[in-house]
Amino acid sequence: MLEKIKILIEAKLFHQSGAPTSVEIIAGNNIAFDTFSVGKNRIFLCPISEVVSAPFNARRLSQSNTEFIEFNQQINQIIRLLEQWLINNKFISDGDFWNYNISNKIAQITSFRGSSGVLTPGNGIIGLESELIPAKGYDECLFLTFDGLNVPLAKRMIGLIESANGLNGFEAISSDLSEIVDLLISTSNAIRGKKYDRISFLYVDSLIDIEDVPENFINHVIKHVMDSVIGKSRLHSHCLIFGDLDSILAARLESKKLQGLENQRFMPPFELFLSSTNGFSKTSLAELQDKIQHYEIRWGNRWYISEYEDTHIDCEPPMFAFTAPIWDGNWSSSREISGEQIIT
Amino acid sequence: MSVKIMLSENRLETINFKSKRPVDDEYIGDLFNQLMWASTSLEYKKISKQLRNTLLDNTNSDFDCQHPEWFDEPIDEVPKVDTTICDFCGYRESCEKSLENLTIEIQGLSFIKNHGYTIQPQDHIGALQNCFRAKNESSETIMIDPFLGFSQLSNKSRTLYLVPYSSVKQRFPDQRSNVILQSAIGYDLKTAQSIWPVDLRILQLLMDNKLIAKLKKAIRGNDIIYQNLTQLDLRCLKKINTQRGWNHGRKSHDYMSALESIFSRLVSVIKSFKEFENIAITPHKPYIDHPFESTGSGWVVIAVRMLELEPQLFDYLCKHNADNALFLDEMFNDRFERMGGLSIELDTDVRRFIPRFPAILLQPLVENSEVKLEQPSCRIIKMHRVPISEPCLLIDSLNFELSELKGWYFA
Repeated sequence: MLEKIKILIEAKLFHQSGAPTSVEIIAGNNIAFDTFSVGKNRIFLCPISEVVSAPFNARRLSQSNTEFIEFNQQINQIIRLLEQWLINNKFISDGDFWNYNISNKIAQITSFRGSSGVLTPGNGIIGLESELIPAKGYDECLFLTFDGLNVPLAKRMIGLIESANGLNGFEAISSDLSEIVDLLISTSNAIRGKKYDRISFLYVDSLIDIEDVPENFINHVIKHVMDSVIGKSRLHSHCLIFGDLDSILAARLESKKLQGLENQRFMPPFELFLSSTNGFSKTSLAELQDKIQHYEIRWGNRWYISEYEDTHIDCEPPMFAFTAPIWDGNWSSSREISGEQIIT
Repeated sequence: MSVKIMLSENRLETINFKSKRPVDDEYIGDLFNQLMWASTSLEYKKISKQLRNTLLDNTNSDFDCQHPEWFDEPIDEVPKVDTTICDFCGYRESCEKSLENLTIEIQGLSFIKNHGYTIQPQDHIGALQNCFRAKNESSETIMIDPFLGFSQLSNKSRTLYLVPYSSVKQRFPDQRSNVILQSAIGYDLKTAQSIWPVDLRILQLLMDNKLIAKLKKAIRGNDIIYQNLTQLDLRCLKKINTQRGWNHGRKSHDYMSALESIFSRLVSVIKSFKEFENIAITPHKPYIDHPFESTGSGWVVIAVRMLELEPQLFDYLCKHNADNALFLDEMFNDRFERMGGLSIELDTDVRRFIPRFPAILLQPLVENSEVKLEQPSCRIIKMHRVPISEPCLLIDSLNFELSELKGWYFA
């Protein structure tokens, strides 16, 4: 099954211009985590049973390259120094928890924007305030803004005809912050402009023999997944499941153990493609939705259902394809991570 | 008895996986032989230099040599070396980059009230080794640290814990309606529940006794002009009420108006505290910043979480609002059940909250029990189906001492 999907994805990629993309199949324990390159799109196809290990797969791959390890060492050093400074200055009391919490946030940002995102002002960790001083320039202040704190770290003046160059020119506001600010600047300079792989994990399953699913229906769904998901963020995990109405009525989703563990990883928005609406009654559709979603984890009504409009397909029983983002430990599309939090 | 697992991944290999290159030069073999049999330190060093210079000809130039001074080289002209050179290096034994293989010790741990069941790591060595096995690019099986990226201590020697899943569930109970835990950041030991980013900011304020005293004073005082909840906040409160199943799901008119009344009072009180303003003005995303599906203006979420994290405030609020208290008596229906002696008995003075530890699930081969992948106290990052009698978790406790928490039995 994975081979067939791989061939179809490669065929689709062949006709598509853009960044070179490789498609690889992996299964349990087979992640070649040292095969890193720069600025390439990579798709990993995995069986759905691997979806439970999605957080491990995603983070292992994203954090195994040489550059990231070096960056990680520098960031850890910055965190350690900041933690100590914040404790000394009574901004925090539980350093261990603060350390864990900010490390988590950094892992989130890294998965979404790469390591350069971590030291970009306005990301929820550091902030920048700029004030125009007439005839002088811009008086800028660099803040630590994590976890409700708003602590000034450094200042700089940018002349009216000058332009800012990353974090260069910032000077610590007190001598005990010098080492931290210097490290921030050097780390920021080291990672600026770096290109990173864009990695997508696609967890695939078919509840029926994949050869029985019309190829143009598979292609339609693959095209949708490729256009809307693949390569859109630095690291993303998605699932793709094919089936027919009989497989639902026969409760094969359940027999395939989707109900227990795998579907706990499914995240909204859930998308359902129907080969035809003929044969899908409201009841059977509701039953299908009910079986795909975990019985307890309900995200609200975040379903998008569409019919594949191709009169050449006359599947009996009608088929469906289900796709959804997978929780891999990263809020890769979260507006919270990109600093655009919303109220609903 | 604990189990020890040697990782083939050490820091040097982690830094550069691909730098091993074949060396088939006989001269290098001879030099290495001479190095092994060198009789004086001077001779040893001389051969080391020769060997290094020869190997440097085809180096992958991956990183700076850590000890050019040992080779009598100026430190401002550090040569670039690779792991192959390090393998043959005469200074290898003392160089910090060439750490010995890392050792992970696995200790069995069970909840003291887990029907006397304990897990012995030595009975599951094969299953445990599975958690560390991976294939490298050359399809060779190597032992990796599976917690890379999840633990700051990854790729360092340390102790991990093998705990029955049932023990973790019992030791760290949660509010029943907390089912979407993906973005929960920790566990509050005092009130036995998951905590979210907004909670951490609220807790930091509530742990200040002076502020609690001020809050109580404001609650019992008459200085504050009470305002009705906005429609947005009222809707949010009703949704939270449904989500939490307060009052056992019963929504009588008297109960709902008492609920509205008491929260409008509490929101008015906390609005008068500047400390809470910063939290309220930060936009909160449902299920990410807090456990609810609705946010409202932010004030109601703060008020609800405040009462859930500091239940004595709810009691105090009821005491000073006797009319409403009559209808709100059973509002937090599972509060006492959750706390029912257990968390009070196990309460620790060491810390109030702990992070969610990364864990690997060891799942029995045939059984598909209802394991929840997101737990209040840990997040499952990986699963292995292994021959084991019941689901167990291999936990990396990060930098936190699990032994500091009461209620554990160490196998």
